[in-house]
Amino acid sequence: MKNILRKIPNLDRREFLAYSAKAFLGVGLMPMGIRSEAFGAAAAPARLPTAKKVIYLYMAGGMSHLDTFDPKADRDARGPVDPISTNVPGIQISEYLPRISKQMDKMAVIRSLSSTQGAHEEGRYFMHSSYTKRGTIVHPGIGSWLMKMDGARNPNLPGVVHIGSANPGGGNGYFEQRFAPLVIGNPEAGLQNSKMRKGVSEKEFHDSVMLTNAFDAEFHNRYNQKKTRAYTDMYDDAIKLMKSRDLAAFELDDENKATREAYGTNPFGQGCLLARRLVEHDVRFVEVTLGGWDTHTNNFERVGENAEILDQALGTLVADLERRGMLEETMVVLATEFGRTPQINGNDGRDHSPAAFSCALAGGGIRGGQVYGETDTIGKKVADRKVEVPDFNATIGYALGMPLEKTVYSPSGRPFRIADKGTPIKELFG
Amino acid sequence: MAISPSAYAVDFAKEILPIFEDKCYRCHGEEKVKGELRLDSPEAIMAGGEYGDVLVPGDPNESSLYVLTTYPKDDADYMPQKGKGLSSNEQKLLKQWISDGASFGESFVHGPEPKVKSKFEEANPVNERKYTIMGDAVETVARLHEAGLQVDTVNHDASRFEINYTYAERTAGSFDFGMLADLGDTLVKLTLARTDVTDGDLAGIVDYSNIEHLDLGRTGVGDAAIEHIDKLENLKYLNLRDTNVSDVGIQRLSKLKRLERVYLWGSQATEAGAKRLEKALGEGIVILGAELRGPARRSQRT
Repeated sequence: MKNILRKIPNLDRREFLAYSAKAFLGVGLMPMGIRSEAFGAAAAPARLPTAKKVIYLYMAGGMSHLDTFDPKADRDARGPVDPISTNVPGIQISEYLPRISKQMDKMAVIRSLSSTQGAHEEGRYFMHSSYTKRGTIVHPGIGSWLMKMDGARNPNLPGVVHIGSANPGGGNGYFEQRFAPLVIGNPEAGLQNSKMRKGVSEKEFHDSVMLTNAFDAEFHNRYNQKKTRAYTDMYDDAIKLMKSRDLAAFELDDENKATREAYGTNPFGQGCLLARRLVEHDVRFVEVTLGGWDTHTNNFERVGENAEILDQALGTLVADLERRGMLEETMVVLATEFGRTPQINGNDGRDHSPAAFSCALAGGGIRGGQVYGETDTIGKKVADRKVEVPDFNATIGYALGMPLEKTVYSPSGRPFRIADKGTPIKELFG
Repeated sequence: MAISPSAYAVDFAKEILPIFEDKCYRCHGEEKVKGELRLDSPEAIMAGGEYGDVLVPGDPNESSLYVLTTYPKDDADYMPQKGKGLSSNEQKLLKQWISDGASFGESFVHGPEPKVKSKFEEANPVNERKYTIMGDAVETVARLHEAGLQVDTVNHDASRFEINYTYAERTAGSFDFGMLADLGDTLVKLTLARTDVTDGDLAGIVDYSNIEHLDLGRTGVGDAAIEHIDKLENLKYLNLRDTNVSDVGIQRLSKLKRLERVYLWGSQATEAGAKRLEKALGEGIVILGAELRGPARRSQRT
């Protein structure tokens, strides 16, 4: 305190207040001039993160990094898959990903992910929450953290949506129910039962809602608790949504045939298209799951099939976001729970390998056309710039401008942070 | 963080050490060193273990030495993992002792720099920019909220504002940009996407010369709008996708030399028009976009 005061002679009251705000709360609203004078002009990073929304593509089962984003020269580790060049000189990826190879200039591939969790459920949980699975508490995912810290943007739509998996990991955890994701099983079916029933007039609908409220009023007054209120909130939200023009966001039929085909006529491809539509309507965090990556047997055929689905959807998604001018504010995340072993087992499969695997990022201020980190010659261990799972999530949090250093206490009083103690990889943005 | 001793300081030797001996040394002492952590000397405690520091003098909630003893007993992280746990009175003592500065008595003095477990300090946060809006702007922002506008910070910097009209339900011809006057130079981003904004409405934005980012996507604006837009000298990003602008209008943008991105997909602009503008502005700046192609059909051979 004393030191700070000595540094600022002759500041008027307003400046002093601004200065105090900066010094004690870490925030400020002063003109740039004062800021640089008082604090010494700190070199700003070349590019600041610009993300406001996230499309999070989750490869459930453990995507083989060797057969997708980290192809190896070593013949034994590589198996029958050849690498191909991308639109960025010097970066090669698997031949399974020809469309993605043409979007590499917008993507950053991280080849040095490392997880401590080698089982699916645990790995998935860790990837989504930055915390290892515990019996006594459930941790929130990044989408719910975003809702908690910064709220929704579209007042009529949920802020977090999960597509394609009933149990994707990363729910609201110990946060209130209103921060929970809306789960959509089948993207083509869209949001079920969300339209007003035929033959019910606005007035009749209103009356029946009022009647429900009247019946519930006493109960709600007597049990004015979080869960009871959550129920009421849910009704209110549902009614708002039913009447909203934003409901159109769920209508994949509004897209032309060429676009729908370009994303791939499969649930994941259509899920990615739905994700794009939702983000266009300012939904902030959409997760789409593609399963089937647990390739203990018949690895190459199965990864080949899955990669084709991923390649088409992600390759199209990045291009589509770019032409719509959405890539600046939308960060696309490709994540999985772990990679697969360089050793090919007796069933022509690859087993779990949490020690080293690949993920990718695009948009939201990410500098495209880069590879971060490196594995050893066979892709078994991280050789350079290891990225722990919390670091990866901290990078997403940083992109979204979330206060990573802030400690939040669960209802039981336990301290948690958005990405535990992860450190963001700022170099990816510069 | 200032450490203020409570009126009745907890005595380490008399009150805390017995707890350690009874509950902790079984696994974190001379005989066993679980998690690379020993608790049988002040130096060892301050050195921490496998997962870093365990004690932050003055901050019990940052000290796993204390926090883990308060977890539910069946939690995987609960301490002690073996034997009886700390009673609530013992927990209270430990917490108080840490709050008071975790003095080990005269034999050990903490260094002048209090150790901080967290990688982040208040003075050195990961993000220098904050969502938190302060000062005079609080009032301004509240008023804009009330008017139905969304206010965001740009690049998560609370001295640069984005105003979003998308959910404000303004009708054509009634866009009241005058109400943004209090933001002045701090208004750098304006989002009018999906609104009913008209070419004429946009006459009201020309005074906000610090606007760097303007989103008019999916609106009905046309070439007449550009006669206003082209006065925004600091414009870097302009989204005109799914609008009625054409080759004629967009050529006026060639004088905006700071433009880094212009999006024209779904507008009336043609490839030739986009190319002409790009020639004036620079390569890669004008994005017209192509129709997405379906999957390559392997059977099709020419």
